[in-house]
Amino acid sequence: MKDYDNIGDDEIRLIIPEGNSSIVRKWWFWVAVSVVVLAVILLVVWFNTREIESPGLISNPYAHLGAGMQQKAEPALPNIVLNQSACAVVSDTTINDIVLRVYTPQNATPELSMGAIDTADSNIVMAFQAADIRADNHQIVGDFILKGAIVSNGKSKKAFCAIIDGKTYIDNSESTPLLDEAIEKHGDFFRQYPLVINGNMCENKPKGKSIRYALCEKEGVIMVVSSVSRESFHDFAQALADFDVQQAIYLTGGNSYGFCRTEANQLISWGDASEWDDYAEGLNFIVWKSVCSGK
Amino acid sequence: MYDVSYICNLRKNAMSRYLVFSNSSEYTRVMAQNIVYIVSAGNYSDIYTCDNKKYTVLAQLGCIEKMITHQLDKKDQFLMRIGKCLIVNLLYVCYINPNRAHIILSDNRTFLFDNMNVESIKVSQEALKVLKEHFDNQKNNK
Repeated sequence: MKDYDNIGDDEIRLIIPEGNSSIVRKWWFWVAVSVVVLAVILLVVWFNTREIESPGLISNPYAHLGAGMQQKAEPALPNIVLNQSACAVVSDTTINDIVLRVYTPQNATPELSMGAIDTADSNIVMAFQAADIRADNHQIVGDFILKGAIVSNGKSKKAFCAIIDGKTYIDNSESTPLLDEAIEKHGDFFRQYPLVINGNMCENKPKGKSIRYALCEKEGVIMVVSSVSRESFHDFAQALADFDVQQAIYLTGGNSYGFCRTEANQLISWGDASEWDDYAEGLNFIVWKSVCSGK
Repeated sequence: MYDVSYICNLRKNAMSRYLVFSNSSEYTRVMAQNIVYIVSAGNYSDIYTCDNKKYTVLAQLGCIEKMITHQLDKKDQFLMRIGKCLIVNLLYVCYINPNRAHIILSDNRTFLFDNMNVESIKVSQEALKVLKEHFDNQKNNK
């Protein structure tokens, strides 16, 4: 530290100011601040981009099939809770003033089924109508694979759910290797409207309001979420996105039939089964069966 | 006597910056360029300005030198410490005679401080000799 009193009577010393000591006046300070801010912004953008791209994607085992091929969606495994029987945990939550009913299966695996389902089958934990059925020819809309068998073809709805080897994949792609894999491995596959993909809400053409159902993946858990009241596609999808659902595709809504068994073994059903005969040809469900059912 | 361009440059570079002295009871702000000289008075210092005013501040000369160092800009190199008791503004040095220990500080218009008449300005012959050399060197460097 400089001693300002250290001067003799016969000495002189030009006083040389160091400049304003305030660091904020120095140009290099602002350059450094700018660089740091820019670096932080780039990091945030990079992390956000990574978060958007990562969910639902794993290292691509299908890269050899061509650059244009969609990557494989990350599978969700059944929600196994030790020391508990298979059931559906039902809870309500409110997002954006929309009441969402959440059906989370426990100790149960999903699969597709065709034809009427028996509510008396105690192995079935919950069931929802899956793919839409055309009103004119009663055929299933879009690709539909049942235990490896091709039931229906079409890509009018781009999102899909594939159930292969007990793993559930939900994603949005017209061309996915999972379709072929489902056929090869005797898995299930159906198409529906995308609602939320990689955490982002998707817009869809259908207008109007109805009771909505969605097959969702949230934090690696597959669940079904429905609206309690009639909602538009947009509002429902936005509520799901705000509910932090990573992936969600539509399930047949409106008056579609479904049921679940609660923890108290109580059977809860909804919808209308009276038109089943009319749509028997294409009637299909996604059902969760107890892992102990020996299916 | 010395190179005018040196003083012109000093004057040109000198901005309207202030030296600020503040304590619990007083606030003193002096435009640095208008300081003619500062003389030590024990724990106090007397600041003489070109409007013939004297401001007494509670700070030793070393402390004031430190404040000049921190408060002024690098370009404001017109104040010089001469010995233990004096800081002069080079802008107003108009006469030096080391042999007679004589120095006159003036703007040749409104004020004049002559150490032959003003008792407070005490400068050694040797210090004035070095000061004269400083000016001479500036002239030679030109």
